[in-house]
Amino acid sequence: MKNIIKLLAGILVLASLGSLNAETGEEKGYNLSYQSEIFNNGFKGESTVMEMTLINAHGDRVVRKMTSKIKETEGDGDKSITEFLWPADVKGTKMLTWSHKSKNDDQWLYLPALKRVKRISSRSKTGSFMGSEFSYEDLGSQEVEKFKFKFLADEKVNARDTWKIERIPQDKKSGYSRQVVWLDKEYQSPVKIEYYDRKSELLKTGEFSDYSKYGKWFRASTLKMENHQTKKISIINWSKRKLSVQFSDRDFHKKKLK
Amino acid sequence: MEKIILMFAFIVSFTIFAETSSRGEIRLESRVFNDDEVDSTRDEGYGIATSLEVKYENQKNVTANFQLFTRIDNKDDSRNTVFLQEANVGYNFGNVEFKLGPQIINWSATEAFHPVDSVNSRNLDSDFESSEKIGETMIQLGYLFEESSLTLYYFPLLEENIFPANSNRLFLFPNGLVLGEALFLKEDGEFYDGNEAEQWGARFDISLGALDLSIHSISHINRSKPVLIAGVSGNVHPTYIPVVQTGGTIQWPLESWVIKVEGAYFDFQDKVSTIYGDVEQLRHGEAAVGLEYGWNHENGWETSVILEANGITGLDKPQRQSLSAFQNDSLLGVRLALNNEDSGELLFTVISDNERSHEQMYNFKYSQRLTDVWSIKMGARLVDAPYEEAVATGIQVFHNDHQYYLNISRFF
Repeated sequence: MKNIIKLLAGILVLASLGSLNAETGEEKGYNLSYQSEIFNNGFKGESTVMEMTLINAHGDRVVRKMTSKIKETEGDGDKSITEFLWPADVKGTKMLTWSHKSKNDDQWLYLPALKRVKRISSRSKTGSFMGSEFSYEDLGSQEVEKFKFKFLADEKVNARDTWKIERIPQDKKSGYSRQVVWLDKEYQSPVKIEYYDRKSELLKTGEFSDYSKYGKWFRASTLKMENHQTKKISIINWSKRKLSVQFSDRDFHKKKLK
Repeated sequence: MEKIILMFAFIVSFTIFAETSSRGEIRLESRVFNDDEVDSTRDEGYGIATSLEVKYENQKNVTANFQLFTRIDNKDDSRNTVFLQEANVGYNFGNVEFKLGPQIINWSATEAFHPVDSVNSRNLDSDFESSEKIGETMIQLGYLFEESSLTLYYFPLLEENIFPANSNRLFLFPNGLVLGEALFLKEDGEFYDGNEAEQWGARFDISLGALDLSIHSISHINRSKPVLIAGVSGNVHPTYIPVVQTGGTIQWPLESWVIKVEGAYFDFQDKVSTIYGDVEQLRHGEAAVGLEYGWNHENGWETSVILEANGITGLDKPQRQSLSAFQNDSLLGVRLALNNEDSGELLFTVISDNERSHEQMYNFKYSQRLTDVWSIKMGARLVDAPYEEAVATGIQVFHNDHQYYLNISRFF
């Protein structure tokens, strides 16, 4: 009888410990996303050439080209410079962004025809980036502080193991009511994101593919964004990617835009 | 000819390096004014404007920039022009930047009124809101702090504005005036013989959180507020006066708003006696304040509303009105960016004089990309500013000079 009581007591203790340790869906979603962010930290600097193809509903294609430099900043968001190379009329235009975890990003635009560095509001997140299906919000920094998370399921996407996580933007000016992210367990990066508009209808799907390994980090070479409402598609291809590039702070100084 | 050979050699020396990039534009320009029924003026203009910019930057922190602007008008020879905008070399060592040669400086914070942006001379036969700038020769020494910078300037040469000729419908002065050569006044009442002068400037620029602040002081011969003095042959001479200009700018994004302020005090030298009589430009302050608010539409379009106003302090109404075209005005603008593959954009602005109720300038502009290398821009500028006094001032000189234009650009 004593043994039975001990056994029951043991089961109760284990059960209570188990309930103490059980993560809620929200906690698990946050923890997995935070773990992914930590994994992807430490690259110091990254430079790439981006080619963006815009495909309209009739299949017509136009191409945009740009270069991008990113510098990690300890304790805050990254600093980045995007320089537009094509089409020819925007060649030389540069956008400098100092992203922040908990406040609005600082952004400047350099207009080469006027030699002018113009401060711009980073609040217009929902605007289209160069006429594409990407918004500034899609291409901006995705720190965990900017979302609320909920783990949904373990799922396979294209035969790869992923965590399916819902994330809700904290910014009331976001163009999305929610996003569903499939986070690759090995890459620690998304392979697919669904974006839902403010009416909670599916707006776009982004698919990340052609991952390559750079040191310990994985980076996609292709991102295809399909707008289900307009039937337009935009594809970004990254090439000449380098990680662990040592940029200095002055490379991201607004005086260096000219 | 020597200058052209030197420019050509400069460009060729750039392009032998792999770290060279270039951009340029060939623009077919056409403009038509409503008929003023004056035979001596040109109501139509068709021309070609070109701009070529070559940049060089190597890993050892050496930089070089070259930019040349030309315009040829087949209806009005007086509009033909060629000027350097950039021809400078630079070296960066650590946080120190050094640059030598002509360059364009843009200190503007606002979109339409630019009281502090006075370093470069301008081609005044171009957009009122954004006239073409002529490169100012300078030695520039800058130091970059983490979120700020200090830049010192020395300007050894005098560069004058390009004024539209009498035959040009954008002639800036009342009809009948004949412009003589520009004069640069010295502090002692003499005029500069050559084009050498000692001019200095300094600017400090800092980002304080979301707010960008700059302060500057510049001691130079001012080109943005010339005085007209009568010459011996009946001509009038645009005369540039020494000034110490001290001011600053603010650019401050607040949620969906951007607040913009720029202002300066123009401490012109005292009245001096010259061979043409007493000459002075009145001391005054000038400021412009702007607000820009933008929002996105569900279809992807983006609208921006721009509100700006400028004002002059320390002068009475007639003195203000003699100073420049825009002295106490306000601007309302609406920009609609279609955010499509062609980057279609529509802009409407109206500038109103705050002191004279019946003085407005309306601007309509539409631009879009035709292909990856061709773009089109078309628009109209309507001026409704009748004058009752004997002499027109401000934008009254453009009353009924309505202008319609169509430009097609090939970028490379």
